[in-house]
Amino acid sequence: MNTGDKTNDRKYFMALADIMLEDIFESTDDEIVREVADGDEGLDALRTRMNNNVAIAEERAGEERRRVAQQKLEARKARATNIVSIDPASARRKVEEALRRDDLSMAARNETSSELSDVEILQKYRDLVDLGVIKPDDGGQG
Amino acid sequence: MADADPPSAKDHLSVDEIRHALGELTDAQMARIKKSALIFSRHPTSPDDLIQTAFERALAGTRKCPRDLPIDRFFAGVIRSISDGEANRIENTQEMVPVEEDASPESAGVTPRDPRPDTETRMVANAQYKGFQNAILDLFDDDEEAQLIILGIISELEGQDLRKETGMTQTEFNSKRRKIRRRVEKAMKDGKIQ
Repeated sequence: MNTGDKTNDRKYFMALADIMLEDIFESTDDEIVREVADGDEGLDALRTRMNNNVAIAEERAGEERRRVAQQKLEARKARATNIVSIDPASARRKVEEALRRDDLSMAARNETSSELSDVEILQKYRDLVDLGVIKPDDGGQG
Repeated sequence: MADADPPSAKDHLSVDEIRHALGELTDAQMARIKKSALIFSRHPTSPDDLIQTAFERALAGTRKCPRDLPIDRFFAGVIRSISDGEANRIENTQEMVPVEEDASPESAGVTPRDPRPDTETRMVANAQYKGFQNAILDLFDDDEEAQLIILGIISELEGQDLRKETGMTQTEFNSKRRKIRRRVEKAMKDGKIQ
């Protein structure tokens, strides 16, 4: 069953590995390289293997970066679709209607007075759409 | 302007810097990364799987290397973390899995493939850790001092407490630790002690 805890056996395994890891990093460069050079694999094979690992990782990381970028782009498109048709005057009206309707802080209400610029009121509109206070599809009747 | 840079840009290597560092790895750095993966690998995850995943996460920008940390030390830490995380995923898989995750008509009667490890895989993984303790002790049948260190670790001793328990000087302890590491490395194959 799901315990969420590290089992003792794995804890011991990690502790044993940690002891060996300490030794790997306390060995000098010469010592650690000589071990590989004298081992079954050899230095040339190690370099080839490591280069292959980098190449495979680079390809996978590229796919991951593309996936994340695509997600961001789609999120931005969705957001742009929600706000594309609003003009500052309508946005100001919808923001003020929403704030009269909802139990928001006094500070938030005060900010929506006429001293906010068109850019600021559009930003406020977007924020309230993102928060779900305003639903653009129903004309702002959130 | 430098003050406007996000903290991560100042304190951590960028992806380009990681890529450059990977292209400039010395033999000693490669050897340390390889050996780190070897000691943290557990069947069915191979050392190369651990190395590739560690490199991938750094190149994707999801694991960031502090500037003051040697690159091989950074990757050893990532490899350790991946190994521990993979084991955690396997150990914490629940016994019961949902048969229907998608309520759409098209999926009716179809059991979706569960991406999580099955019971047998978990049992094998759990047995591996216990088997590892026995196998590593067997490896040192000829060396009671090495066995003492291993048993000390299993008794949750660490650092100076562990050394004192064995009655060894620091030099003797370090020498024995190296012997353990080298012998375990030689015995390791496909994430198991052979």
